[in-house]
Amino acid sequence: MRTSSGAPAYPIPSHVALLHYGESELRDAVSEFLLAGLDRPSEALVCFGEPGVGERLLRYLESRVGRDLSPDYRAGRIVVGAADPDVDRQLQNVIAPLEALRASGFALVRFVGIVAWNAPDFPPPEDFLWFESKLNEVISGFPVIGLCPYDLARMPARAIVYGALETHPFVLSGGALRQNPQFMAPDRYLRERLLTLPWLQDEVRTAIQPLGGGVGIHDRHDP
Amino acid sequence: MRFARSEQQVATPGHFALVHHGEVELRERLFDFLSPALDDPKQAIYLCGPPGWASRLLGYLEMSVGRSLRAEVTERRIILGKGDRDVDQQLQNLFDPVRELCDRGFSPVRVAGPAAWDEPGYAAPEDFLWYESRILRGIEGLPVAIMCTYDAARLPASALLYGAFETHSHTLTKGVLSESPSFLAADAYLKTRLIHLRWLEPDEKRGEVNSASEDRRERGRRSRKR
Repeated sequence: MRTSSGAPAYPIPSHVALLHYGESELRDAVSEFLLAGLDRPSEALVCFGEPGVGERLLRYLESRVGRDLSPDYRAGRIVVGAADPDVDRQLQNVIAPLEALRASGFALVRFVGIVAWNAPDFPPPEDFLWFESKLNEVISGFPVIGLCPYDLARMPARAIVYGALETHPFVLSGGALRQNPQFMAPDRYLRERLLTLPWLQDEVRTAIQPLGGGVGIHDRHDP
Repeated sequence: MRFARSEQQVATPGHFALVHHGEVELRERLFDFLSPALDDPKQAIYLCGPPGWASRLLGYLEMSVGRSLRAEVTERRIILGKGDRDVDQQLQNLFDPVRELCDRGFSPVRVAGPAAWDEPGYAAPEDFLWYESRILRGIEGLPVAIMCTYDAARLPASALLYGAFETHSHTLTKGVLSESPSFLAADAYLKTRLIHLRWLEPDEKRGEVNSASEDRRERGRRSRKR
């Protein structure tokens, strides 16, 4: 899925998992994605993640274009958003800027949300997975490309399988954008994955072990 | 080639990755894939993996079918093999018994073995990935289906993406077999993935890498970098 210039041809709206390894690949891929919008005044940018991460993305972009982007930030064309351990608030932190940018007349929003797993300022994994799946419904009403980077160097495999692959219709890896056959629509994901997450079932099994088995319920943040 | 509990079929020669979570699911999927061979004397099984794993898989299968499979092992209709620290030897350890079973007329031959990552006495991750990428070519023309099992509860994400999804034409997740759009044939995998593995590049920060603590720089030096 490429344009004539060789860049990935993102459908609009779309929800894309970026699979990368380490910070330098993230920097390159995200800067390229955002830079394409920076050159078009009709497009807006959102940098989102744990507290401080959005600002870091903005610095990457400034370093790439070689100029200060604070005028665009002050003008509201670039928005920096922060994650929240409460998943409902986090969803609101995504929807609010999308609504504001649509009301301002931007034709397209390029949204980058850096994924974290088991992080203190981020929703717990099972809540975050619900959020990722829910985003497919949320963005259907917005002219947005949502790019969710998953770092293979830091994430456990379950984050990739249940998050990147099962909640995103598209995957960007090694510069190639592909439709993702592992994707599950939100209602199916809720039924077949979220309600049967293996580590939550492990917790249930552990909890119903007879007393004296020496094992207690796991911390829910321990998958 | 059919499964025991599901309608779907896998073609031969075939090399697919089972992505599972933990040992309970592994046992279920092993039974689903391997047990049809137990009911058909024309079929055979080869089990492999890091040292000790073939016996463990056999134990799982025995537990699922509720009987000893010692007789099948004795007559070498089930062969227990093992991996090797030397990845060329590991590849040989796979192909030799599989070809033996085919030469003896068994068809199809079902193979299962777990992926291991950073495990002592086993191939280094980059060597293991090379091994995975060469398997399909080695079984060309043979009535063989190989299921490599990837435990999402234990493996790092890089094992899953670079191993399960990029070196296998199909993946089996939650019991559903589907094509892997990320799959790369052996030559493309060597050119576009193996020689560019990020952890082998000297300037990549490794502080947060989610795998064993061994210095990847050392690993890079002893890697074959084919």
